[in-house]
Amino acid sequence: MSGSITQGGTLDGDLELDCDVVVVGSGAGGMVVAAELAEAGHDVVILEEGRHYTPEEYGAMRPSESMRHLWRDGALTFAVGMDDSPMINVTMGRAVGGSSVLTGGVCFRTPGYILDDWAKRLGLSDLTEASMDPCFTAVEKSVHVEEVPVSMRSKSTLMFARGAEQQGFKLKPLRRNTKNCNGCGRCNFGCPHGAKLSVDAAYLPRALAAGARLYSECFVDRVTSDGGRATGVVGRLTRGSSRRKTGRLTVRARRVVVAAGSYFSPGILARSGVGKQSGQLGRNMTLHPGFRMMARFDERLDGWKGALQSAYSDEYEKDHITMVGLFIPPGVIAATMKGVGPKHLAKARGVPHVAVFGGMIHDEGGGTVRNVLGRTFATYKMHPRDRATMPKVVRIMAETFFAGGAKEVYLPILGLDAVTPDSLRTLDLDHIPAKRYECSSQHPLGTCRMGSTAAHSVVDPSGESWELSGLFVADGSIVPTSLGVNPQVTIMSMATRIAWKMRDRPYD
Amino acid sequence: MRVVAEAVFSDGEGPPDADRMDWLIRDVDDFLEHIGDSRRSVIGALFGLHAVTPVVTRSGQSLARMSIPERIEALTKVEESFASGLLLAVKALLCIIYYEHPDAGREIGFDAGCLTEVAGS
Ligand SMILES: Cc1cc2nc3c(=O)[nH]c(=O)nc-3n(C[C@H](O)[C@H](O)[C@H](O)COP(=O)(O)OP(=O)(O)OC[C@H]3O[C@@H](n4cnc5c(N)ncnc54)[C@H](O)[C@@H]3O)c2cc1C
Ligand code: SF4
Repeated sequence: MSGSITQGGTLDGDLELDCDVVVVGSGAGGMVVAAELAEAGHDVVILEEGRHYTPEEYGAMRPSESMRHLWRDGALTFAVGMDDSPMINVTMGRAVGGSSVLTGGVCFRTPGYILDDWAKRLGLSDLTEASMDPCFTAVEKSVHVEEVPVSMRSKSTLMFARGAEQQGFKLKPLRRNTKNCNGCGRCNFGCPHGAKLSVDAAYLPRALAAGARLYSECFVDRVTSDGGRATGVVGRLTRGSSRRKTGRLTVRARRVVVAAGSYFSPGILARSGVGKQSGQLGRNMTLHPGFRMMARFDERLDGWKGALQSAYSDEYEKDHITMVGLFIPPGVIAATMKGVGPKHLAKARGVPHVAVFGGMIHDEGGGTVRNVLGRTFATYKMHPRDRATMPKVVRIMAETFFAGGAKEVYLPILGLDAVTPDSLRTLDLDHIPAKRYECSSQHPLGTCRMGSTAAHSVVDPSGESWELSGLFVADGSIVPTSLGVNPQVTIMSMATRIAWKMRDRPYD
Repeated sequence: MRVVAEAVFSDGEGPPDADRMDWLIRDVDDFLEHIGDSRRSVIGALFGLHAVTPVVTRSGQSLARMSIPERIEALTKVEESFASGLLLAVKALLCIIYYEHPDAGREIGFDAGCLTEVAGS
């Protein structure tokens, strides 16, 4: 049996389908559930709001073309900072493969102490390291998780590593979902070499081979139900960049899996009249607020050469900080340096000398998504502990770069020029308003959180809604707390577990 | 957008040649066409920038009427002011696209095929 991919924009009129399981969203969570269930013999339909691009197509895009076609809203999506919290640029994908297509490939299992915390505090005692191990193993095998050799580190990362050693700690190698990676460094815009095994590369072919039908450019509005059971979804077909509605979408299914990501799954549930009873829907959003540090060295680094993400440090985990190597396009580096005209060009010519490293906060949460006038609106009120960590993470990274020999460091603070070791010492980072910190996030989690009681969570330990039987959620939104590490393996593994439970349960 | 771009990318002699600016503005327009709701935010930032510049410079003169050296001076003042975020938003978009032009990339020593045109394609 072989499945199919249909671009919704090519269809005329309305679309009506029948299936066993309809999966809404084709990202890290949805695509895994779809493949696992299709392979178990279920008739699966996958609906994705974005378009389908083949690796050849997205591989041929310039970064800004990828941003306009694969990233949601040109990567200009935000969580508005409440009170003394920063405005956070929360980015995500909108295409077949979801945000998975855009990752740096970093893979971490859910840390054991996090799973212990879920068991103790949230009663999720089924999600132990031992019981999750088969899920982790299955995911890691499917996406080919391997360690990044030191030889693939960019000079940018090597500079931070040098500073770290001076400061008394060592970087650790990252593991990534790659095979035959050549270190070209453009993972965040879609791998042009088929080396990154994002879900569209690793799981979609499996789903299709097992007969799944994927429809892109299909926006799901809500879940339908009858007598307390989910019966399918309705929505609209769209076309082109304007996402103009071209027809109605109706899918009748015996089970529904919502996997539209942490920003959008709560909206689908809310529009379906589901999930509100606990008062947790759309709440508890954690983000791993992140800060990038740039540093100028005398030597030429060409920091874009090498694996985009190759090393990390958990030296400051006790302070709720994880530092991870990264790089950003030279245009972005140039833009964040102060200067207009000749001064800008002089700084831009220094880009080959710039190293970049990132730090993220293992946050307590404080984010909310809700529908305002038909649009998704996110806010984030930073926990006081995390607010106090912001200047700490910035100072640690800056000092590490200086220890590595940086001449100047560009702090992620709006309106601030490059700092030297002396000016950093006298800079009162603690009293800089949070709104001036340039903060970003790629890890929204927790808005339909999993839990052991209906009073405190949106879905049960099997991923099923407490309120509507046959409705499952399987994406980042169910991850109940922040992780302190990049989340894709956690999301894919939790999705695997949900799929296996669905597979083993007969239809009513 | 062009008024700002000409100032941002100007060297001591003037703005980059017209062909490159045409390419940049065409591509910015295409970007804006594809980014859904964010289009309004970018246009808003651009309007905001035009609106605050005469206030920040206290000259009352609009960006569009300024010579390029005047624009550079005015935007430098904006960058130092409360409105720096508006300039950053516009400058970020312009820079991302501008330095994807292989000639512009080369001029700053950026030679990564995969981040401009794709190697092997
Ligand atoms: C730039 C970037 C880099 C990252 N790097 C890493 C990394 O290195 N390592 C790591 O572990 N994690 C990384 N992440 C995070 C990781 O990609 C996400 O956590 C993960 O993909 C989230 O999975 P998800 O299924 O929850 O959502 P997504 O993967 O975002 O998928 C949700 C899908 O649902 C679709 N959708 C939304 N609403 C609807 C609707 N109404 N109807 C139909 N479809 C809809 C969306 O278009 C999207 O395709 C990165 C993320 C980004 C953006
Ligand atoms: S660095 Fe490796 S995984 Fe990333 S885009 Fe290049 S080849 Fe693909």
